[in-house]
Amino acid sequence: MDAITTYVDHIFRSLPPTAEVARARSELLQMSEDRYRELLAEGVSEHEAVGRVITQFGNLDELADDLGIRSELDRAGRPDAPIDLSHGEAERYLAVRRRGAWLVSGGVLVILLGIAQLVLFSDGAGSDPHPLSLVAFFVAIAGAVAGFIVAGASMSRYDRLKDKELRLEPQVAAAYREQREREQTSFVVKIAAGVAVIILSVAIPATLDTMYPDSEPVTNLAVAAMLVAIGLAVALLIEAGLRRGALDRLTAEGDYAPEKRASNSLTGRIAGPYWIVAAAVFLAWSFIGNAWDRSWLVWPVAGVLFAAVAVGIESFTPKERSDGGR
Amino acid sequence: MISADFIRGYVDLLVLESLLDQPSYGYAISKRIEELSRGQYEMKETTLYSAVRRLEKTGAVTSFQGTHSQGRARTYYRLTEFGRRFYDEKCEEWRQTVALVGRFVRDPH
Repeated sequence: MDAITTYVDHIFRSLPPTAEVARARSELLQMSEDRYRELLAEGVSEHEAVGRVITQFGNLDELADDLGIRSELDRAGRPDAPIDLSHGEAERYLAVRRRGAWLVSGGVLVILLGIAQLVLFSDGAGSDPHPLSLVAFFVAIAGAVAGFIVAGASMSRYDRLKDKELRLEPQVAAAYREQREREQTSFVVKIAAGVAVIILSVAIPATLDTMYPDSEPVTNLAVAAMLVAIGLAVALLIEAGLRRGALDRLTAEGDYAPEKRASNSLTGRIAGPYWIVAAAVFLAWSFIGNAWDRSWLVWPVAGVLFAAVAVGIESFTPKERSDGGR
Repeated sequence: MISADFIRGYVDLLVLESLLDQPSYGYAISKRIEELSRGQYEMKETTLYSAVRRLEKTGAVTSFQGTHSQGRARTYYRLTEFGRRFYDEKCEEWRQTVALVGRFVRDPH
């Protein structure tokens, strides 16, 4: 009997839960079950009985106009057809997106830590960095890039969901909306804290420079501290953005409302390339211009710019609910 | 086997006939049609439900909840007066169709 229920559920799963559809489902299920029972009573094997019931079931297309589901049926199979996501698939999607978020934000943090130690261990004003320190810096960049690639590859598994409307079981969708609601405060706090730390961190070298005008170690320490702070703050911004982006995707809110799908979770997607480019600018300026004493200025500028971009993306995209264009 | 396309215009007639003598429910109607078809036609469940639902909407049948012999709840369908007249009209339409097409059918030589 389970096979019959599963079959009928499968036929009906992508249809809207209207009273008319529910009635058709229950009537058709009843007919199929009656037939199945009678076939078994006649001595037909279970396997054979399921096959005959399914053959006799027919086609929902005949019911489309009576059920008012013509538009849903016609959409099925077209490129913009909504994708049905089971609870398990949705959980896996969230898990992959969260791991991706950690890899990207961790990668950015590692790049900035690599630069921090480069600054910390440099000998004096205008001098080249310590060779070992330079090696550690490149190892950090390589590790971060590897992280970005792994994150990009694992998240691209879900490319098929791009530009599609997702459909979840109603109670699952409600649970995710609730979770999104609960995380609203922590999301806002993370973004605000991230931006505040970046801005304050720029003040560290500026302040210490004024207090100890000619002390090279103090300046280096200050710049290193600033870089670590920026790194942590940026990681926080990316993690918050990607985490929220995944939930938005599942609840079809915010920039994942169908008409806005294209511009989603930019914070997460641009973070990797952005900080690699910043590292490239830093290196080019430092080596070509032999400007190790000034080139660290790239980082506060990049940090504040990143904060501006992140805040812009997270707050200026419309967050109003969408009914999925139905 | 008579094709479903050919029967399409007379699905309502087949369903209404099953309800002439007493109210009936989904599978029982289906079985009745199967018996009278003697293997020459098989009505899909969706075709049957679609017809019953349409007939209910036009007022040819009404539905009510009942229990059949084994005690299971079923939606029963009962023919209305309008349904009976509609059945008679469909029968008359069929007789005319047979007569019309019959004028074009020559005996094989």
